[in-house]
Amino acid sequence: MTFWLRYILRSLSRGRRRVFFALICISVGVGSVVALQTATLTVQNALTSNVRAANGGDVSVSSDATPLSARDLGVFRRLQSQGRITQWTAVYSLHATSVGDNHRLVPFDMQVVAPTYPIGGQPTFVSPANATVGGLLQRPGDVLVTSVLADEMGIGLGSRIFVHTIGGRGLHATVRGILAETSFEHAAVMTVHQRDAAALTSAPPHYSSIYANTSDSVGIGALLSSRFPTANVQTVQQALDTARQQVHDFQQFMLLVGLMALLVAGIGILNAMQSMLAFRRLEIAMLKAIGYRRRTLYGLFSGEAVLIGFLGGVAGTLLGALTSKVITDALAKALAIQVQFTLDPGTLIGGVALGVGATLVFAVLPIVRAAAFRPLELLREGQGMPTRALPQTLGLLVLVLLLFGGLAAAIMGDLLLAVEFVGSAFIAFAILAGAFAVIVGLVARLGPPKSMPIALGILVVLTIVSILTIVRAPALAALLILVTILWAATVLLPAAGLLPLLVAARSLSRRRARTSITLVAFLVGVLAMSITLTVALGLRGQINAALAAAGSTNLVALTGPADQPAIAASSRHLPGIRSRSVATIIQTVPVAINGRSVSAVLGAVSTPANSDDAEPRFLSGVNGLDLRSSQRPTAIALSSGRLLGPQDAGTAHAIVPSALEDAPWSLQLGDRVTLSESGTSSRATIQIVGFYERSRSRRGFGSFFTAPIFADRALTVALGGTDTQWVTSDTVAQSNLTSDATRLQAAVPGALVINIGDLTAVVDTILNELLNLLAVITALALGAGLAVVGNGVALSMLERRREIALFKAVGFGPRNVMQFVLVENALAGTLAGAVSVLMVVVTLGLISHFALTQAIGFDPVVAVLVLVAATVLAVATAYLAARSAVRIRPLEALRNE
Amino acid sequence: MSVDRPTLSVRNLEKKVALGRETIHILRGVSFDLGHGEMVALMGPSGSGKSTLLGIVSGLDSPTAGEVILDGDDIGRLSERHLSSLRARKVGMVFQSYNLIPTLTALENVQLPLYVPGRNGHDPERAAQLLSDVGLGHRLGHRPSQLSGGEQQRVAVARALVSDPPLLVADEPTGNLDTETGAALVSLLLDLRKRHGTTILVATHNNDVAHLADRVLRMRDGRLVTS
Repeated sequence: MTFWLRYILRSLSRGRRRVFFALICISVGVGSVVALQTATLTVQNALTSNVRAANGGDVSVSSDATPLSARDLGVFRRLQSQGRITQWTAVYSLHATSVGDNHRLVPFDMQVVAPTYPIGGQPTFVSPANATVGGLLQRPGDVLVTSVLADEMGIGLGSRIFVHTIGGRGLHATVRGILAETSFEHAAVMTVHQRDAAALTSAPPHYSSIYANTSDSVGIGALLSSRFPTANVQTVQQALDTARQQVHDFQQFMLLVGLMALLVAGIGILNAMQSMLAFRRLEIAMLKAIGYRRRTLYGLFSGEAVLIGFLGGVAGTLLGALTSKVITDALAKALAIQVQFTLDPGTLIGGVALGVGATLVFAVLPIVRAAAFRPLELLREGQGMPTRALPQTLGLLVLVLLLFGGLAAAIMGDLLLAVEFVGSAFIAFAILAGAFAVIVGLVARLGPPKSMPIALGILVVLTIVSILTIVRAPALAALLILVTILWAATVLLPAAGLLPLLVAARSLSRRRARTSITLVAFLVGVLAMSITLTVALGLRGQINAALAAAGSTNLVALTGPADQPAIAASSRHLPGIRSRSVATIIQTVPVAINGRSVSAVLGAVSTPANSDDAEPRFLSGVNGLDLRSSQRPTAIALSSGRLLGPQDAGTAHAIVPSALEDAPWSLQLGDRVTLSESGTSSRATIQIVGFYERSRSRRGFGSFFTAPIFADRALTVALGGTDTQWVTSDTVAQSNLTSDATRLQAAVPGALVINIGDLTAVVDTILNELLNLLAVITALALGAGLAVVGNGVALSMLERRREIALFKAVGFGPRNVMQFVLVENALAGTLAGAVSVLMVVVTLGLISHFALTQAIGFDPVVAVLVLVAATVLAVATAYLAARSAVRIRPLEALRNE
Repeated sequence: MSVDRPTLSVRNLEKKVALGRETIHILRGVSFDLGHGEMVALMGPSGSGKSTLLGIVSGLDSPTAGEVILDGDDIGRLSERHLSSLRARKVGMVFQSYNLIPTLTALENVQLPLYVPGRNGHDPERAAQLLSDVGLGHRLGHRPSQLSGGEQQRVAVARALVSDPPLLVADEPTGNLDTETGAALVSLLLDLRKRHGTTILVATHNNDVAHLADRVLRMRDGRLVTS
């Protein structure tokens, strides 16, 4: 045993450089998984550790679409008097706006809370630490804001702001606390004590959330669900399940990213082990010649792999632990949540085990192949093929895939997902590697032209096609320009200048399988970089421009009836005003359909009351149009029936969403729906004359300010009375938008002015969050890719020592030899960059075609950046890996190898 | 042959190598001259220092002491950069195991020394001509893996001569060839010497090769025993 241990240790020591390269790959792969696992566990803790507080109590009742009235609260009073619930509190919501320290008019939700709030435990505060809601909301005007709102407004503790609500006098507020975001909702919310409600609204409260504490969550939950069929009732357990499900999906995604990095790194491990064992092929032949059986050799080499895997696992775990804080912070920023960073001992131990496991999985192929060398040929001629090379290699590849699938299933705890991941990764890798093999094969055929006129003719054609492609599809030209440059170099360079290119092109092709797989590994990183750069540079402006162009309405003012004349007068005189339209909106609850109560209609079908299909949002409000003046709804398409016209003025005719034609509502033309106004409880019965669908292409931000039912304005005013909201939609010149929004808000403090044309901030926020996530993925993928490239170059240098020595023997200096290596890797880097650009262009094309109505082009600057970055990274890595190799003493290599 | 102005002059050459704590004395005071167009065989048992001597005179290795003057240049005093340049201009080398670049064709392998940066005024047609001279005019586009051992060695000889160097150093050039191919290679070397006037120093164990040389240098334990 000691003998074999000594043998293994000495073998590893002898091939220490190759071992070092294998260790780098294992470390990067294991480090990625450990870092991402730590980060997601931290996120999981943040989202699931304070669920009762996040749910507001043991049971929460939320009803945003059809808020509950003061009368509905009687149910909770009764339950408390019966002793079935111990505590309860109701929260009502208002839409509000305010100008923050960054001078932007920001819309947000305001929740007005009772002194009893919160009953589910104190929420987590970003600052001040360990505060309580009651302790902070002591004086009039004291408010709490979520960290999302604080970021959007650029405000902090002590900031003083003026809050506008519809019909309210307005509130001078002081920020007393900043609440941590502990869910994926990213809500911009302000919390205020109910003593300030009078300043905010004169309307009766519409409760959006009611929280209750009870020892019988399940029973009370069921009771409340049946009492409020249109509300969403959730117990702590259900909230926990929801949070876990959200975290689970996110965790699986991040683990897939980690596994992708591990897979890329695995290619490096495979390369390093193959090179390490190929280097010792004579020794292996000797062992076989003196009688060692394959099984013994498997054991010996597996022992080496275990040792390397253990060392790599330890190094990777350390790397992962060190980088996980950075990655956790980036993820927390991307998800806009606050987290408490912790290192889990189980993850760290798992990292070491993963190092051993992954190394063994990827070492299987080289180990079995090395043990299959024919000793006689090796000993006699110094080289020999393993027996049954191709079928065996294919069989081993399948085995590696199965083993990696098992490893992935163990990490993710989901066999099906692991099989899907490994299967699709293999297919993608195979297709890309095949494409690279073809390209590399073609590049290797480059050589001095046999007929100069024909070669020049081809060059002219290529140049013309490239120029035409630049004009028509700039980004697609990247690959074509690369081909043209290569061809031009071949045709125009003198023979001496062409040599590095020829050597590079043919060296790439010599180990085509390895080169192709290395290129795919590098491509994964470059592709991630391309996507990140595209999002960072290219998409931002284009999306903003597209959205700005798509919607005509860019300024909306919401008012009560009292402020409507003032808004009408002020908006008419805005400097940038182009056009304006006015509509009314009331909030409603469906009461009966054709005389039958809604609960009877919904109860008659098997669809659960809380399912999406039964959502009452399709009947939760009426949009009043001035039909007498032929005002028509915008951004909708009639699916059946007819549109409303002047003849419908003064009637209860209405058009409703086509989703109501489906179960469980199953409404038809001519059906009558009785609605109750949420605040006044006045009732009216509408008759359906048409069904519509929102037109996808024009579904802008303006659609947030319309209700689902369209009817005559007189109907809404009669139903809503003073509760009626007036929506003034303006189209304002982009250059005046910000100033006009502030001007309008200042002119009518009781209005809610929302600048929906200022999408830049929204898009920026979304893109910045996406960029943080992409940066993490890019760093990991690119790190793993570069490790594989460096590994590949270093191994190639070790294998080509004799060739390098020969170059030096005939008079080339180390700088010339380095030039060959750098040209070779520049070629590889540019190739990977060009293919990644092509893939991003195709993807953007698909997104533009299927998801957006406006074409999103690929920024040529990004193409140039990606090509340059990929080339420079490949060249720099190659330089570092080859630096010492090109300084070998030629005599030594020529004599001994 | 004239030795008035020797192509290669070796004086009191010493080479010591440290192996762990021990110092191995590989060359001990070796001195000799090679005249223009002379073909000299270097013989001796394995470990006598032949390959080390060839490595030093061809500029691949440096001496511990002594002087090696090749065509007027003192090899011991040259920097790595100048040694590279010297190898490109003044030395052609043929190895026992051919050492061709597997990714280049026969013609490109022969052209290789011509493309060393800083070399001017070479004739690109010369490579093809030399391959014709060694009987491979019909195999210009073949890669090493498509050539036999004898053919590969002939490509290596053509490569060694393409720069028209004053000195050709061959280390066991027939070692991997059968007798007939080996003899053909030696007669090729003699023929090329006649045509190009190249000085040839060939290390060999083969007595047939030694018989065809102008002189034989015998080495033992790092010393020149007969000249």
